[in-house]
Amino acid sequence: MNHLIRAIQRDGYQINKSSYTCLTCSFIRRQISQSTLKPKPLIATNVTVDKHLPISSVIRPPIVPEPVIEKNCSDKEWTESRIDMKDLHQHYLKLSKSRLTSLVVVTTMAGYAMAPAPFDLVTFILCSAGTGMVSGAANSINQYHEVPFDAQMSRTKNRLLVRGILTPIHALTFAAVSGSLGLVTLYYGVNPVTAALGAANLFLYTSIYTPMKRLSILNTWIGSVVGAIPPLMGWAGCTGGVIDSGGLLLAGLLYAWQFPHFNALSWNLRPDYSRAGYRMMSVTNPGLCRRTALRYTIGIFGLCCAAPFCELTNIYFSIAVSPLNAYFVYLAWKFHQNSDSKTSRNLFRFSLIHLPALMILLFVNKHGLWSGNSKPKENSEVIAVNKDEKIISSIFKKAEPL
Amino acid sequence: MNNVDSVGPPDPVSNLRPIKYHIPKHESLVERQLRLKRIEVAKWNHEFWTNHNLRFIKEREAYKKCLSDKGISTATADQMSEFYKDFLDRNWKTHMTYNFEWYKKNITIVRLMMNKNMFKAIQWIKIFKF
Repeated sequence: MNHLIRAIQRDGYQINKSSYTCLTCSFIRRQISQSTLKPKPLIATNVTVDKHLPISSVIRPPIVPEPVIEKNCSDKEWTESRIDMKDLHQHYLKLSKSRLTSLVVVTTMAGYAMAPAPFDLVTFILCSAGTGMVSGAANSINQYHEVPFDAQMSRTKNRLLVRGILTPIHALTFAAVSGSLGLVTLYYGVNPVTAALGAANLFLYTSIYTPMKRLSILNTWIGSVVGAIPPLMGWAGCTGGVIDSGGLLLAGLLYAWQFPHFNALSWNLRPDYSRAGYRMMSVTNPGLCRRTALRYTIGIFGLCCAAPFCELTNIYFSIAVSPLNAYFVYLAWKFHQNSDSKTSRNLFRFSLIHLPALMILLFVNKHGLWSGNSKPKENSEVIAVNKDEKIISSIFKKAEPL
Repeated sequence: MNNVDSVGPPDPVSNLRPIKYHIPKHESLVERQLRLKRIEVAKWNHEFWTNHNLRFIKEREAYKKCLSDKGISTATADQMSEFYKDFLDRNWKTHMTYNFEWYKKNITIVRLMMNKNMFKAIQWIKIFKF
C-alpha cells in the first residue's frame, strides 16, 4: 500500500487525471441528455453548481424555455416535407442513429486494439469506417420498418421517417449505398471474415431482431448478440480472421452488458411497450427481467476474472476492475430487490459509465502492452495499477450523487 | 404548399401524423397509383392504431375501476404492470398480423416509388434527347 501512496505523491497525481474524468463526463452527459428517462437533472445540476456565480441568473432563463417552444412549433403546425440540401448530412446522421453507431464503432475499435496481432493503422481505420457504415445502414433499414411503431412511443416519436421528413425510398437508398460501401470496404480493405460478420449482423438486426420485438420475449437475447458482434469484427479485422478465446470473451462481456443496460432502461417504459405491442421482458416477465439483470452483472464479474487466463489482459485488470463490477452488481441487486424508477435509473446510468471505463481498463491492462511479451517490469506495474485506481475513484465520485 | 407533400401534427389518439399529398398538374398513372396507395395505407394505419389505443385506454380505466372497487384507490406500478402484461398477451395475434401486413404494404409503397422514379428518369432522358 505504501508504495502506491508514494507513487501517487511522486508522479501519479498528474497522470491524465483531467482527461479521463472529462472523457467519462462528456460521455455520460451526452447519453443522459439523449435519454428520455429524466432530462431535467442535467439542468438542475448545472444550476446548483453555478448558483454562486452572478451570471447564472442571466444564463438560466433562455436554457429552459427554448426546447419547449421549438417542440410546440413542430407539434402543432403543418410542415412541408421539402428537404434542404444544407441539412441533408444531419438527416443522414440521424437516420444512422449517430450516437448508437459511434458506440458500435468504439466497441469495434476496442476489439481491434485488444487483439494480439500487430496494430496496423490503415486496416484499423478501414475496419472502423466499414463497421460504422454497415451500422448506419442497419439503423436506417430498422427505422424504415418501424414507422408506425416508433410513432407510438415518446422515446422514438420524433424520428425522421415518423415526421415524414424523408421518404421511405430515400432512407432505403441511403441504407443500400452505405451498407454496400461498408461491406465492400470490409471485404477488400480488411478481410472476408470481418465482412461476413458485418453482413450477418446486418441481417440479424434488420430481419430477425426488428420483427421479433412484437413476436417473442427472446428479442432481448437476439439484440444482445447483435451488440456482441462488433468487437468480434474488430478482433477478426486485426488478426486476419482468427477468433480465439480472448475475442470471444470480449464479445461475451458486450453480450452480458446489454442485459442490465436494457432491462433497466425498459423498466420505466412498460406502459408504452404494452400499448405499442413490444414484447419486452420488463412487461411480459418482470421477474425474469430483474433476475437476468442481476445474473449478467455477476457474469461480467466472472468474465473479467477470467480475462487474464485467455491472455486478454494482465492479472492486474481483474483486480482493478473488481470495485467497478462490484458496484454494478450492487446496483443490479438493488434493482432486483426493489424495482422502481429510482433503482432502474441508477442501474441504467451506471451502465453508461461502466462500459467506457471497462474499455479503458481493458486497454490499459492489455496483455503484454507494457513489456512486449516478457514479464512486466516493477515500475510500469505500479504506474498502471495506480492509474486504474484513479480512474475508478473518479468514476465513483461521479456515480454517487446520481 | 406548392409542390411537395405536407405533414401535420400527430393525431392525439393514433399518434400518427397525417400527410396531405401534393397532386401535380399533369399526374401520370404511376404517380396516381402511388398517391392512392399511400393514402390507403395511411388510412389503414390510422384506423388500426385509433382502435387499438382507444381499447387500451378503455381497458386500463376498467382495470383501475376494478381495483378501486376492491378498495385500492391508487394502483401501484406493480399492480399496473399486471394489466400491461395481460393486455400485451391478449393482443399478440393482432400485433403479429398487423406487423406482417404492414411490412407488405410498406414494401408495395417502395416498389411504387421506384416505378415513379424510373418513369421520371425515362422522361428526363427523353427531354435531353431533344
